[in-house]
Amino acid sequence: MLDIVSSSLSQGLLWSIMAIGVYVTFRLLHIADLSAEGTFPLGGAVAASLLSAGWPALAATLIAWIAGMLGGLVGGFLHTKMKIPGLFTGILVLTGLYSVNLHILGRPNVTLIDIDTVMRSVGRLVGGRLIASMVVGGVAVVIVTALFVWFFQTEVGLALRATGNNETMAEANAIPVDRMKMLGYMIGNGFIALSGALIAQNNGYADIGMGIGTIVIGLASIIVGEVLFGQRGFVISLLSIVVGSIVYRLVIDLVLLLGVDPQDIKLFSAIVLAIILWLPHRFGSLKGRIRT
Amino acid sequence: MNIGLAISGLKKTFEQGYALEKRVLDNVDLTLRPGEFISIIGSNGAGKTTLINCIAGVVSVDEGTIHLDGEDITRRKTEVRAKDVARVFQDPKLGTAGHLTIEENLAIAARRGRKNLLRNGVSEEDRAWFTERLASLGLGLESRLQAKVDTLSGGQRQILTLVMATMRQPKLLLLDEHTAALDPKASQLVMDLTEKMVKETHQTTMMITHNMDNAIRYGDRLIMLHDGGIVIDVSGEAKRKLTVNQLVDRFRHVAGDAVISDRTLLAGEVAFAKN
Repeated sequence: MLDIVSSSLSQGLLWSIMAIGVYVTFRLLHIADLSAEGTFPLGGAVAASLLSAGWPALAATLIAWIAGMLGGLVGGFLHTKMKIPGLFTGILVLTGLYSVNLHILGRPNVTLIDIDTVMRSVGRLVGGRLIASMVVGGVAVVIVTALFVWFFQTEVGLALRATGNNETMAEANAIPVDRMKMLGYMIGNGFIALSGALIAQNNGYADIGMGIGTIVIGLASIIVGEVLFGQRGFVISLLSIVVGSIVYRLVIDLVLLLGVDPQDIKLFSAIVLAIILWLPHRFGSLKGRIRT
Repeated sequence: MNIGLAISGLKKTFEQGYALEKRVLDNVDLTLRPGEFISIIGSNGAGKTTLINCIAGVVSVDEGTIHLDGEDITRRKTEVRAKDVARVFQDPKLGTAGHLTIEENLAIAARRGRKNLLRNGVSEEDRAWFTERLASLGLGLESRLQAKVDTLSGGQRQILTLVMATMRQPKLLLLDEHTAALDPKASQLVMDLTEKMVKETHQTTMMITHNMDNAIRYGDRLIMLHDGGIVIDVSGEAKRKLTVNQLVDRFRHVAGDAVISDRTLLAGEVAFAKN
């Protein structure tokens, strides 16, 4: 049982970085961006390929992060300069990235046996795979949270938040709204790809299908967090996403433990998210705590 | 160079080429001296909001030019014009970002037309300035700098928008029925503050209003739009002597017996009652 909890904890930490990325487009820009389904495996693919080619783990991870930001830049360009609605933008990006990811991987999956991933390097220091996952997840969450909180309080960060919250106001205050949206796409998808890179290293492989259901996990983590904590300031919001992500992972792991066939897990995730989205409408006491 | 606003031959038709084609602005010429405060009235559909939206860049112009301080801004994007043109909207929610705090909103307005950098969005220096600025309004907003704007009343939000719009002394301030959505008391407060701010800084201002009484009482000049054209243009002594009755008569005269919108009439009748 303790194993399950600690495994959920480490997985939840790593996945929460993806959920924080989804939060940027979904909550701050108010765009339902499905690009995550493509940029998450992009991060995994870039990291796995570079690691296989002998790159150091940290460099591979950082480059995967940047690759995600470039993916976001494409999405942002489609949405702002080509005026394609957010939903279609996401579908276009995730579809296009499928081929890109296949090219990067070279084959449907790449395993990272006997390769010094971030997890393995840290594992040697702390003496244990699970602890290494937790340490890496924890450090990554702290770095991402710190970057996030810092950035969104800067002048550019305020301008970006204003753009997402009230575009008319942003325009009326001379904020370059298209540029802000593109930046939001980049930041969000950068975090998503970073998470993909870390998950691939944690699992010991990257495969072309690892992105399926990403957006469901991301949204579920955000909303579970909001149901638990309500919508508050930044730091609380981010912490609630991390907790939401861990809780969600715990639920999935417990369900697997109860004997649900792993191949039914996506169906189960979808049903869980549907219920999570429905609950606040069903029970008035939760109303107003989340926006769907 | 400071030569104000010059609009020349402005034309705008909506739904061009369709059955519902409507010419909203028909060859409008209008010049504003720097520091002039002009109020604009007219029935619904007269083209008031379209005129202001053309100046702000929200609506594209079919023909004609708009010059601000000698610069041709006719084709400039809204966000680029916003460096010189500030707006207050009818809907108090439109002018501020509700999820951001009062100080964050003010910080954004304080950076109007400047490059946003990766440094702290609200500095201590800003905070001191904002506190002073808000304290001068006497509404107690200065003690709530870190409150989300969503928690403010409509009147407070509108006042905040007004402060934000005038913070950097734009070349032109556009007020689009900015008191229409407020209760009478808040409406009066916002109007008084508007006049105070405009006078203090000699702010070039265009104000659309449905309230004839306000149109007469405030501003240096009054114009009435009808069917996309300017039908009345009074200023100085003539405007000061104007009454709502005369204005309605003059409107009937120029517009034939065209319908005056209920709201305009109502606003007029309220004014009669007061007289």
